[in-house]
Amino acid sequence: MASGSANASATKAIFGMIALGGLVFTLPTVLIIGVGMTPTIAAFMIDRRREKYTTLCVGGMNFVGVLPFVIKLWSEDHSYDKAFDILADPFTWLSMMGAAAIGWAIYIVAPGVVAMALAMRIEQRISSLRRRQRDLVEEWGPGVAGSAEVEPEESSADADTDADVGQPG
Amino acid sequence: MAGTITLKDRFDIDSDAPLPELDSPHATAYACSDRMANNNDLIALLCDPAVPVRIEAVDSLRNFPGYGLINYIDWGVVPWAPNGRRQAVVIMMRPGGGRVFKSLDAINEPMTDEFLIKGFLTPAAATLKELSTRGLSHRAIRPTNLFYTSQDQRSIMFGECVTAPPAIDQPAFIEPIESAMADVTARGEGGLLDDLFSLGVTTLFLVLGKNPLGKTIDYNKLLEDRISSGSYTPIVGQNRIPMHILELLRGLMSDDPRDRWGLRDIDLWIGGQRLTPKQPKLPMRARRPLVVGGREYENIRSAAHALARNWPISGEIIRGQDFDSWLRRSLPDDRVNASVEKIAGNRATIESSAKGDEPKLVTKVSMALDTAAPIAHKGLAAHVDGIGPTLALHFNDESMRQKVAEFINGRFVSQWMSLQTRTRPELMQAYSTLERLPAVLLQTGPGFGLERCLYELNPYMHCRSPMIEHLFVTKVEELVPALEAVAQGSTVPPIPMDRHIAAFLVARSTDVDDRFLRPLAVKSDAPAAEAIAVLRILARVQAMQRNGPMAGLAAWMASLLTPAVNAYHNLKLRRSVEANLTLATDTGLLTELLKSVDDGKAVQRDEQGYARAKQEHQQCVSQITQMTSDLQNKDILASELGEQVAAVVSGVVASLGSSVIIIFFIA
Repeated sequence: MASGSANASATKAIFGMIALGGLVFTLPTVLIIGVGMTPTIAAFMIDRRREKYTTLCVGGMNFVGVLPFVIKLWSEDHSYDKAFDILADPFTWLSMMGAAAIGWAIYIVAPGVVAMALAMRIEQRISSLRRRQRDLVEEWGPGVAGSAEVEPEESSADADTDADVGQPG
Repeated sequence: MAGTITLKDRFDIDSDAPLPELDSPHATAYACSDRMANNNDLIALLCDPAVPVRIEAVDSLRNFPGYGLINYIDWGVVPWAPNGRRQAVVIMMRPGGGRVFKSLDAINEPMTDEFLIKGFLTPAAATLKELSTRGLSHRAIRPTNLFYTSQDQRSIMFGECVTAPPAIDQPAFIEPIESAMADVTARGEGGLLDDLFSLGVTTLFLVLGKNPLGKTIDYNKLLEDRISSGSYTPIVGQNRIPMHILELLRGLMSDDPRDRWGLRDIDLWIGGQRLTPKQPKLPMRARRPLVVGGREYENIRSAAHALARNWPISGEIIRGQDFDSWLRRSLPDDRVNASVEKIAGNRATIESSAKGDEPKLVTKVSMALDTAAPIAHKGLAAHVDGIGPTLALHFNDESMRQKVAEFINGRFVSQWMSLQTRTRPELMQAYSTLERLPAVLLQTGPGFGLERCLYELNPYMHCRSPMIEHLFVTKVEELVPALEAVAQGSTVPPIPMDRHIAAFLVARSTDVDDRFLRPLAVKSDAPAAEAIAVLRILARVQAMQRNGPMAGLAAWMASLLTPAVNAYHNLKLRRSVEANLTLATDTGLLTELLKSVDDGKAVQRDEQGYARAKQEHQQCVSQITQMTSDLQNKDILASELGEQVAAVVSGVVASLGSSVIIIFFIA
């Protein structure tokens, strides 16, 4: 048991060393992503849900905003200078923050849209059920709804037959 | 012609021309003419609807030969306009002369021997012979029911005998002792021997020209005297009778039926043969009297009669030691003791019988003591075939109804039959009917009970239902048309069935048996269950009797079936049944009506469908409630789902965007 736990710690340490090594060798990229993904980090910090829907929503779009600049860094010159050049460009900020803003917008608008769709679907279903109820009452009379069985047909039928008896033949 | 009522398109009865001098005690006479025979010398006797008519006798009395009996032509039921109801009428020839004795107190010229023989006894003997040949008895031979056959008063004929039950109007002293002991309505059909006794007393009237008993008669005392000293002496009394007539009278008025003169004896006497007058044969005397109610009775018959008449105290007497010693030591004939043991059991059985069984014990013991007497139970003394007319005449008398019911339930007839020394084939029909009736009385539903007894015991009784009594329905085929007439009237009863109609049907028709009646007795929650049960019966009768369409009755029944139609839950099916019912009503055929409502499978399907529909409706209500609640909480529901959707949308857009960017840079 103890040896198992030690192994896991050792594995984590090895992966940590590799990741740290990787970060050391890709520092300009880390710089772009670190700066560009700030809204995501902020979203992560305020996201109280275990499922981290806010982080996913904002992070996904934020990443799309950051990705072109990372690729640009990699394809042109993977250096601090280039990274600073990119960060110095306002368009870069507009892209990265704009994408994150779109993520936030999706996150804010979606529940309203979903609520609307949900309400429509429920109302349709209620209408369908009410129609079925009306059909049942039309076919079986008000008694089927469990109300008092006062059926207009009965009184009219009585009146008809009384008339017959009054003038038989 | 005003006041003329026609029977069978042949006989015109003039309701404005009553003939009171020809009235019978229970029938009113009217002038009548026969269109076919162009004969105006007829009378129509309009019968009292409350009194059973001897219809079977009328049918057998047609074409009666000779002139000793009023000539019956026909009978039928007519709508009697003066009282607005239907009644039976009997058509007969008008007697050529008047009534011989207008009342029992009337005084006539004493009849000469020649007239007595030629003008009365000869035709009377021939008439009784012919009646006997036809299996009938007259049972109304009395001075007030004799008519001269012509204005010149050359001979005498018997009056009618069919408008009332046998012997019902006979004064007790004109009847043999056994008949006089019975209740007036319960004397039974009797037979030739009873007619011969009545002929004897009637002859006495004619010989004396007056009532031999005078004006004041104590019938109870007279009966006791007759039992004690024979009928002849108390009835003839101090009147002087010529010796040759005395022989005839003693023979005819003999109390022992075996000694009573028969038709052959009368013929011999008419032929001139003279015999020594018979001495009256007195009933067996006991060695010491039996005390009943403080009085002493010296012979067995009077003791039996006293026990039966004093039945409330007789049980105690019979169970007492004194009665046992009287029975064992004082009677000259051991057979009486044996009969008592046979019917009532031995001494120990009698002593141990319960107080509540005393009336039955009294009946059995009095029956065993006097086997020829009528069966007497709780004050009702009846011959076997007299119980039917008694019930008919007293049906509305609750106390008599109770007596008749107890008489039937007592099952005395089989015991009485076992005591008879001669077989009585003429009583077998009544006996077999009475044997069946206790089981009928046990059931209380329509078609059973005393109403059923009424129609079983009176085969020609018309239906006494208050609905149709005035229509005088005597046959099953007349019932449905009668109900149609009721339906056409201004006031329609609640339902065309009651206890009388049910009993009448089952007693008269072979097409309707107890199975059809049982549903009438079951109180069902099913709508119009009673109406459907009634419809089932009437439809069968209408079909089997081929009565044809009855629009009024069909409409009446249709109105009663409305609850059955409304019981269909499925409105489409209900409208369809309603339409079918209307069509069936228009046909006037009750079978069609029945077909349209009496579909058990359809009712069952409807019930099942209705239950399913109710369940489905309830489910809809639950779902709507749930969904309405969901709708109110849609923001809460949408919150998490919205975040999920946002994450998914964002993920998808991001994936697509990333792919496009990568492809763009690679390209």
